[in-house]
Amino acid sequence: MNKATYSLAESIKLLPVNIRNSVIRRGGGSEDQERASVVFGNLFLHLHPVRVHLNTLRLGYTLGLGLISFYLLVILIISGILLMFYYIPSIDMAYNSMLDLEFAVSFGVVLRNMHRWAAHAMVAFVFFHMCRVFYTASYKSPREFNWVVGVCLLLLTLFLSFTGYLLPWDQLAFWAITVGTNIVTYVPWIGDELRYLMLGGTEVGQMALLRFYVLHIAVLPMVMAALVGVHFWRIRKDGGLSRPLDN
Amino acid sequence: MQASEKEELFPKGSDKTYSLMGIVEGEPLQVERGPDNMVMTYPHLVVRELLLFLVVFIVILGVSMVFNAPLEEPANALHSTNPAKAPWYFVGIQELVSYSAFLGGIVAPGVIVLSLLLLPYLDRNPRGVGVWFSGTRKFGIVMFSLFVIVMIVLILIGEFLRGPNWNIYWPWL
Amino acid sequence: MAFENSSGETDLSVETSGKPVAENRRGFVKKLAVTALALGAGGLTVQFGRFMTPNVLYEAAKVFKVGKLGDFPIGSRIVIEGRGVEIVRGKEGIHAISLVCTHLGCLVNPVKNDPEVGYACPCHGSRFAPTGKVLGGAAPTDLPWYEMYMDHMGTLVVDASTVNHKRTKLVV
Repeated sequence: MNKATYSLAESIKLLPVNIRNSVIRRGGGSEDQERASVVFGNLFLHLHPVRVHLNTLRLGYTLGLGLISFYLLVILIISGILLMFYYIPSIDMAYNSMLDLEFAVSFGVVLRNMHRWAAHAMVAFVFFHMCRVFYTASYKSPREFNWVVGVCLLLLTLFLSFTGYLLPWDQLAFWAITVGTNIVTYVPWIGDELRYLMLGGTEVGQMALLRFYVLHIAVLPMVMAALVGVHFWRIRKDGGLSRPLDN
Repeated sequence: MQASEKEELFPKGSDKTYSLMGIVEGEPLQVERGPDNMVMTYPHLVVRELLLFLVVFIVILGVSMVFNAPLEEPANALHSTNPAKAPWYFVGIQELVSYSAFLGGIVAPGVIVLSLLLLPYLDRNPRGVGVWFSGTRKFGIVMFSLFVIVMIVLILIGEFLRGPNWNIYWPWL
Repeated sequence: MAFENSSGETDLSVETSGKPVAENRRGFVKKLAVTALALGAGGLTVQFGRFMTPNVLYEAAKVFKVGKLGDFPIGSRIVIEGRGVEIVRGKEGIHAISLVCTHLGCLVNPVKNDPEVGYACPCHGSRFAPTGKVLGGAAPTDLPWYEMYMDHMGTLVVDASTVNHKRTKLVV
């Protein structure tokens, strides 16, 4: 109990160090212990185990496809939230918002491009990831359920992309959604009701735009985030990335 | 000569069945590896992951600087575009839909999704895990590849070979 | 309380001819709870569906005026913009035909100067005869005709909510 340690002058002198130490959880000890504490002392890294198998690092095995999909999702969420500051989900204003983003808003065109291209890329990479998992037989026991979660994530990716497709309210969007929602009417028995529910009416109009918007920015992303969490958690619980038996 | 010296340096314990035979310079066989090929997540995995993020971000940013996202004229309920195409990943389905809306639009996607969901419960054979294109599961690989190829071919047809009124047209003619 | 532990049940079951009373009672309560939960969840889903179904639509009316008879000379085919119908007047009468493709809802384009094909869909290539009959493509049914009448002011009115199944022309 050194009295000097608690003096105000000393506290101010040590302020940067103390703040840093309070933010970053550190474990002392050997080099490995310190490296371990980096992982489990951090909320965002602690999805990882402290040690991973060498196979996990092999780029030729995973091709990084799952992680690329996740990163594209992160880029999509950030660029999407930024676009929401300028986009108005109304049939009179939506197209004008697009023009604003393109010509009036600083970096608006780059953000919109990033959102669009990352969305296309995500659909492709989620599909590639599924192919990788199939061709390496990584869906087999005990990872069956995680495959099912992954298929749901693929469907969610498609729904998210589809709902986002209407938002610019241009010809491409309008007719793609008209055709897409008309396919739903071929569902036996409840087809017409399903379409009515999707569009909030009988034609692609204001209600449809609003419904697609809410699904696109709130409902589907929330489900997506939850399922991505489950997907990652199950990787660890199911014994890490799949790998051939050790020799 | 040397051996006898080491015998003196590291005498064998009377109650042990093993002893230290010698010390040599050099790297051990497993550098930075645990006994079962494990490495520390930090820094090995974390650094690679962050690098990958940088690559993804830079590629997307670069593409976005060069290519503009498509934006057509404002939506007009009075005039269909000709042809009206779905986004590229649904164009394969649209191609099927142009043959039959019910079979192509409901049954085919339904069968695809259902079989994907049930796949791990139908293929219980544990062989080939963790190996690319394991020769022990030829049937599955052929079937899945067929599915992938058919999807890609349908998408290519729908995207590039369908012109006005959804008629086949050859881009190079 | 003694009934609730397993040893109590075993004792009881011996007394009551192999039917454990406590297990029965507990099973009943469990069934009751599960049923109540299922009913609640089902009711909630139905009410959620009701909430999501709009009761009022701010869409264009299905019954609309298209103009005076003089606007449609004999032999003319005039598309009513925004309504997805075409008014066709021949020598024997006048009729309103839907331009919404029965396949997936694209607007079909009227084809002029072709005795065989009357309408072609740009989306998936369905073709229809001038009467609306399917000639080819993926369309499952013919283009419907809508009911048409003349109101007391002499204005032609199309009722797009009623399909004219018999395909009778309005004789004027």
